[in-house]
Amino acid sequence: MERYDAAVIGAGPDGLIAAHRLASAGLKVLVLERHEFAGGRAISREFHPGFRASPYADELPAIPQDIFSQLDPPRHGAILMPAPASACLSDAGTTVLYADLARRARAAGPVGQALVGLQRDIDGAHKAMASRVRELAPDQPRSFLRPKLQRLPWPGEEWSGKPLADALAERLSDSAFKLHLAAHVLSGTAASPYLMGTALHVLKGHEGSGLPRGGLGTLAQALLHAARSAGAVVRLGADIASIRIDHGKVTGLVLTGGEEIQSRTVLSTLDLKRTFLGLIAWSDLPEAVQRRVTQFRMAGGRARVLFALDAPPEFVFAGAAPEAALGSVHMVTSLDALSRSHDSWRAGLLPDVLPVTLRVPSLLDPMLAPIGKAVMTATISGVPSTLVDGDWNKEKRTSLAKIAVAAAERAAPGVSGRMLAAAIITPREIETELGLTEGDFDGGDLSSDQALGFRPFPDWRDGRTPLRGVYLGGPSAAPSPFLLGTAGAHAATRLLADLKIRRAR
Amino acid sequence: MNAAVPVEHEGWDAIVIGGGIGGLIAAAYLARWRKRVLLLEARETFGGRAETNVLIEGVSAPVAAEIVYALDPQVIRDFKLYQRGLRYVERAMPLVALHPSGRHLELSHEFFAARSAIRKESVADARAYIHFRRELFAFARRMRPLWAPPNAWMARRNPGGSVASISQEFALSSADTERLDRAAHSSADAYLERWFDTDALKTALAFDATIDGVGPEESSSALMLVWRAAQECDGTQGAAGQVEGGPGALAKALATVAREEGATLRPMSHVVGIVLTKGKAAGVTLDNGMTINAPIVLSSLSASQTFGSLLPADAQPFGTLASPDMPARVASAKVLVALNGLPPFAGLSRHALRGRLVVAERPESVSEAKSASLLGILPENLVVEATIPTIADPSLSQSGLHVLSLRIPYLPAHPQAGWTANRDVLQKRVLSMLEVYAPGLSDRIVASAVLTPEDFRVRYGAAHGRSNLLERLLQPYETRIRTPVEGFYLCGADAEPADAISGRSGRIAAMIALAETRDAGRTLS
Repeated sequence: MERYDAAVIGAGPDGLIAAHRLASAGLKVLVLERHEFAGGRAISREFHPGFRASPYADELPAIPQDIFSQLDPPRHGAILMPAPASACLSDAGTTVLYADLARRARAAGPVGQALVGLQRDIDGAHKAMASRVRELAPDQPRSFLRPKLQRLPWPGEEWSGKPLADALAERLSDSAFKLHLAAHVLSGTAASPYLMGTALHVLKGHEGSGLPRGGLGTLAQALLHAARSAGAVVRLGADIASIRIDHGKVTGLVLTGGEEIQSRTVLSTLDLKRTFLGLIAWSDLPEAVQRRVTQFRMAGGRARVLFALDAPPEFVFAGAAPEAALGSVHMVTSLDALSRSHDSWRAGLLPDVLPVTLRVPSLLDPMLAPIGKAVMTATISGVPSTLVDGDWNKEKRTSLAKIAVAAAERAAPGVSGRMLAAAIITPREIETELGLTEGDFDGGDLSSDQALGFRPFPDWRDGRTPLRGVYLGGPSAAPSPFLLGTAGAHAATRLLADLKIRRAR
Repeated sequence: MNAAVPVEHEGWDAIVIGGGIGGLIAAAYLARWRKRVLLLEARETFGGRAETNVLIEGVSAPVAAEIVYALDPQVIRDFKLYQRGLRYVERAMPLVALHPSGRHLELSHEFFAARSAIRKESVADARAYIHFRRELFAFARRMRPLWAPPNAWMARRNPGGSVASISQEFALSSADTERLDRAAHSSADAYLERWFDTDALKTALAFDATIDGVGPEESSSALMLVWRAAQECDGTQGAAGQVEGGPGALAKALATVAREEGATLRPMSHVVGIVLTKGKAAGVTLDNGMTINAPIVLSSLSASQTFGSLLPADAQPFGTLASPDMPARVASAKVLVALNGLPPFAGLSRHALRGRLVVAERPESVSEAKSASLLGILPENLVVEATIPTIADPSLSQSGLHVLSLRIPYLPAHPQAGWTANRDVLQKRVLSMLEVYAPGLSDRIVASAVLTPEDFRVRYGAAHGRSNLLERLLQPYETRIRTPVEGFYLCGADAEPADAISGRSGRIAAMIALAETRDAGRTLS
């Protein structure tokens, strides 16, 4: 039987980037994917004849520069188009944030410099995170003289602790831009900007990768191609039943068909709960680990509605800022509304109004829709994965669509008359199709005891787990969800270092 | 300076603005060290928030704070307060989580009693409680150099406010550093979740984090639990107590102490400004136009009052002080009720009645009350902490009536319709909620008073939003006491890590002021 050096579970961006890194280092790598297609969250599909869209997100967080240049997605067929601007329509008026910082400063008037300064700080934190991904912190010997933290601090941790609203208020005096930034970073999540610890979301941003031509699926194809050309074997349609553990050390995997695969190491890009409660027999897991994994909090709050439109929408701000239509359009009335959406989410309710982010990807990428027609997506925040009053039935799904339609109608009057079809993706679908517990796109509640150096646990450093040979590199591992593919790359680096140390001996 | 302004030349060494607990203690210490100290209080009585007032004839009740759990033991020792009339009538109040079904959880401060109460709910939790209490209290004690520095040198040691630097500075062990790191980043809910399963127990224990409107689901609120556990009440760690005559009596005792030490206490003197010469504090001006000079000025007023009105606009606060454009969104209120007889709480022992009775209908009620308050809405399910101070302290009531004192920690600071419109709604809602737990309560009510957040604002000045809890709890005292103005210090509740009757900031402010004048003297000579 063939024996692999590393088996990577899941062919999403994290898995493929990890596989590329491992295979490039000369390991024998096998990637296993449950679906018949690769991509994970980075897929696109035809949801109505002739109309294509990425079902879970239009864009993903940015890929760090060094990973990007190693993989070179454009060479493998993914051309990424960043949005030139985003808009926010609220009670405080319409604001536009341009991607170009000089233009952003000019357009924002008196708070321009503050906005640019804030963006520079965020970019700086991202850059520091990316360089932390490249290097591994050395294993320090325990010393009685100098107590050391078990966990390794990550850049960006200085943001944890404060409420998002206060962190923004310290930097910006303009309430409309404050709301715009809050809406931007909280899009598709459930968090109250008034509660302490939510300032960490500032680093998130729900986009940054740019819109790949042809949808996110193209990006996945490029990553798949890159991993395969580095020498990784990718098996699609292979559903894993369990990870085999022998005396606390991994020996291989068992597929649902009963097939056994031997591997020295396993790198899982599933979330923490799926990996440890779904794939590992409870008898192999120390009770303390089991308890901790159970206590890890998930906070799924994203729902999506994909619209096929007869004609592109005409946004109310189209005259003043035509480029803003190409990016995200946030529909939030106020910070209070964001806080309210968190309250209803916590209670498991589906209210009539929720914060919605609209996007018309077909304006940037006309191939997504037939000529003259358009695709519009709506990302709804604060949608509970489990409703207090029953299941996600047809009625509930309809009211979800109504929230999106109402927001779209406010942003672009008359758009509801142009709708040909709609596809609704509730947190339940994100859970079943994508395989994320509770439909949590972030892979775990992003509060400060579960983020960065604490993710998933302070003593699981660099993707290591208490089980020897099992690495965690998915959305529940640091530095997810801030940068795309970095958790996988980071765990792969750790895995390589661990193997090499043993080889040298 | 304008020659027309009358100037008092009495050669004061230091002026203390505001006669709150912190101000009185600062004045007492400075006087003890042979400084000529003048304390100026705008009102007739001293004590500020530490106030016991007459509710109806023959019955008095604490107005704002009433439970004493953080009073600085060093102040008690230094001024021999026990010999001068301070008496704890209750030194280990039980914490009782009321349950609508009558299945209350009574957490006695006494360890074994608490454990057997928990055992009725869950054996596993009772076992966990042993380890939880031991670990929390031992760890909290090791944090005392930061939260209760014995001298100015310790208070000025600046570890930079990060977990790693505090660990280094105070030589914490690896395990304690882990604990501090975890507590500093966890919410109280998540912190307790690691130990316990029973909802009632978690709600009761998390209630200690409800100071200053901090919600137990917010990150860093676990550190508030540790801070509470580091305090001591009459020598008992982590306990809550009650002093005879209420906080008003404590203030009176401290005023006597300050006078006996040689400080001059001047009531009815309203300070309107601080005189600066060359960026240094040089004295204060009163509302009658008089200027009093002194090289050291301390303020026990709130930071917003001090920086908002007393200092010129260009001398702005720094460090952990929230900027004035971020007013508190969540505030607390009190409802005081005089009863003819004990409140008829069903299923509570007489011992439990002496404790803090926590009403939170469901485990989520606390978070929901906070969220509603943030949005300016009066919460549907109020969270209430009820105490009956007259049981342990009969001196409060000459007429045999009892006082039920209800603190509501989560309320909107500025509700949508304003507090005048909501005052009666609040009172009705609180009392009808308590009626569930104490049927027949309303029939025993003789008199009642509502103190809304608005009333507290008018009475004691506006409170700041204290969102930067992590900074407040991790930075040394000095950063909160010192101001950008040389010779000017804060010594009131806003210089404490959390709002409580403590007086520690008064002691440390006096120490720092003294040390700095000494240092300045040395550099001159």
